[in-house]
Amino acid sequence: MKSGSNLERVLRAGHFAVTVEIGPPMDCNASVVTEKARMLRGIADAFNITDNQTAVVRMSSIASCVLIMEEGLEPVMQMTCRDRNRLAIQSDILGACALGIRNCLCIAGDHQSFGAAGRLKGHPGAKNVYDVDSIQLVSILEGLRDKGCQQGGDPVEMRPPLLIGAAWTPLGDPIEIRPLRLKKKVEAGADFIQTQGVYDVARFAHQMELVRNMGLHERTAILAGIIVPRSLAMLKYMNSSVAGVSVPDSLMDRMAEAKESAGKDKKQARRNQEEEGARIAVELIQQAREVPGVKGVHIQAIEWEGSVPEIVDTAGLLPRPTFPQEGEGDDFDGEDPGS
Amino acid sequence: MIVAERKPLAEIRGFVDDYRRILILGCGTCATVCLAGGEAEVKVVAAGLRISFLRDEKEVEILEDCVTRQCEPEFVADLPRKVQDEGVGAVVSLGCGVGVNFLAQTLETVPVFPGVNTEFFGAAVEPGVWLEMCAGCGNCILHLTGGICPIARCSKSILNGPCGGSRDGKCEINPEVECGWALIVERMKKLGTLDRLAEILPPRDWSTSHHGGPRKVIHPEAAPAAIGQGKAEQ
Amino acid sequence: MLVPCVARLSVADLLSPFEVGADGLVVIGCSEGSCLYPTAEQRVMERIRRAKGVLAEIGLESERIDYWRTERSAEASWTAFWELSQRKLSRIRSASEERRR
Repeated sequence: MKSGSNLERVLRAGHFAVTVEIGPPMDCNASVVTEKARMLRGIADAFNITDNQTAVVRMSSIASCVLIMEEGLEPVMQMTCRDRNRLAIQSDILGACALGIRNCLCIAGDHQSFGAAGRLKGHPGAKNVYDVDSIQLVSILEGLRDKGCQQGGDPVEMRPPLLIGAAWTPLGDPIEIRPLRLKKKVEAGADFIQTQGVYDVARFAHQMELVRNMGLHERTAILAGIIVPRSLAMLKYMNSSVAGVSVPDSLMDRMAEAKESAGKDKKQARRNQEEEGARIAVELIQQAREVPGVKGVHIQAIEWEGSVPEIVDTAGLLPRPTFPQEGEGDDFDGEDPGS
Repeated sequence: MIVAERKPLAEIRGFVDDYRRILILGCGTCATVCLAGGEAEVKVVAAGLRISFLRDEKEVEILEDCVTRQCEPEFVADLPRKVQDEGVGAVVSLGCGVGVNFLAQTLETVPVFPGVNTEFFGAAVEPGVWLEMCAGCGNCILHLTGGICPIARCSKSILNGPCGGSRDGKCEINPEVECGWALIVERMKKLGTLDRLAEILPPRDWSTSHHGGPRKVIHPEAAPAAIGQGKAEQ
Repeated sequence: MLVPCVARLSVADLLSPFEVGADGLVVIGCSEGSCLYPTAEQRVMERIRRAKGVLAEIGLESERIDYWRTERSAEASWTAFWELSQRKLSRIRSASEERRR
């Protein structure tokens, strides 16, 4: 075992993994995090804590990870290259491991000009760091863990036991570079991959075919990203404005129909869209699962975490496998639901 | 070349409000070529300031001049005497930031104000349009990226791009901004060297850039007197 | 002031009347499309736009510069244009005094 994390055990045992994203609050209110943790307990193998997602200041990933660990959830700490240089990155990683964090997702991070896509002010005037990029970050973590070596060359006596993750945008432009870039992440040391949200499963499956031909699906665990759509407006926004996300017309039409069927009743229209969005999410999970080489799903319900338990349940992914306490060996007695 | 843009006249006026004899000094090199601070722009800034002071009924004399380069001693050697003889109280430099720095050290006791915003090292891609193409980072890696610079042309300056924010050749920060990595991929496809991008570029040494502190270049033949100082010593 | 061709006027030329205290400037050019040189009109229009920009930057009304065309000779149009210009400038002056109050 590289990290002994629950996510690693689930993947090693060959279960279809489920991770779910939790967004920390924009203040220091710990109960927001613990309440989300309680709501989501038991429905996923690990929970991603975002790191100043969409370039908006939020409670730190590392602190939020500790808060959900106190609630019995396993965190995946996210780490962006935007906000830290290689010194801060490495010291935060060592600190995170000292606190018991066992999974880390390495990402570039949205550019600071974003500010929640214009919905918040954010900090567009900030200086970005990008001392290293996400692929280099993966290799730094791999160096700390497997070579006992800091990036600068100094030794690390107690090596951080981490499961190393990276993001992948399978349908980003230029599309021909995407499998190659995944390969670089795998070669840098990514144990698992969480993809950008997939709506166009056919095109995603095509990219996965290229990835399988390169043998990458055997060297890393690819979890397909599922972003739960909440409304027609959100789908339209993601289709037009989020790089690497394309939404097929058929899904757009379904959502439009759900909205229109409520007539002028706005509350009903919202309920209809949320129900249809949850149905779409369940279908996407099931379709992604059919794509060869996909080892799990990573579910994001942005500021709508409450929808996730039912989606995971309906998709037939509950209960999640459990394992004996850490240190009792690699055997598992978990059940693999639905397989 | 260095690309600059003239500052708004109201801002320049604010700098020189308390002076009665003001020299507007253009630069005949980069600032002229990018239409920010050559002879023609000196005339416009001088005219704008004269009109502005006239409206406020302030008696101010605006002098105009333009030197070949504000960043080399021989072109500004006469300036201290000229400034003294003509009783110049303040200089507005329409050269880049280098010019302002150099004049400030040359003129010692006379204030020098910036009349332009110095933007970047760029190329004139079409008449009147300049694009940033070099970040002056001190250790060129263009041989690895098809001649297109990821440091200057990627918003995140990443070495193993493109990130997930590339869309139709544009950067996630703004649809007006080209994705530097999309340009690199396109170029390397044409060169037939796309496979070279499979190599992971390691974290780079930024000490050659401004991150390593202000830099100095000494040419051993041109500066024999400087040998024994700085880099040449090591 | 007579110039052989208004397309020769630079931005600094267009500003020079204001430097000596003029309230407004009317550039009188030939009728549209009558110029021998294909881009001359666009160029002078662009310089007028930039000169107006300079006035705006120092807080003066950009309408103080006009570009009017005449079918006849410039001298023959002067009286009419002078009156038109005076009416316009007095409007600008009173509007600007209004703002100050």
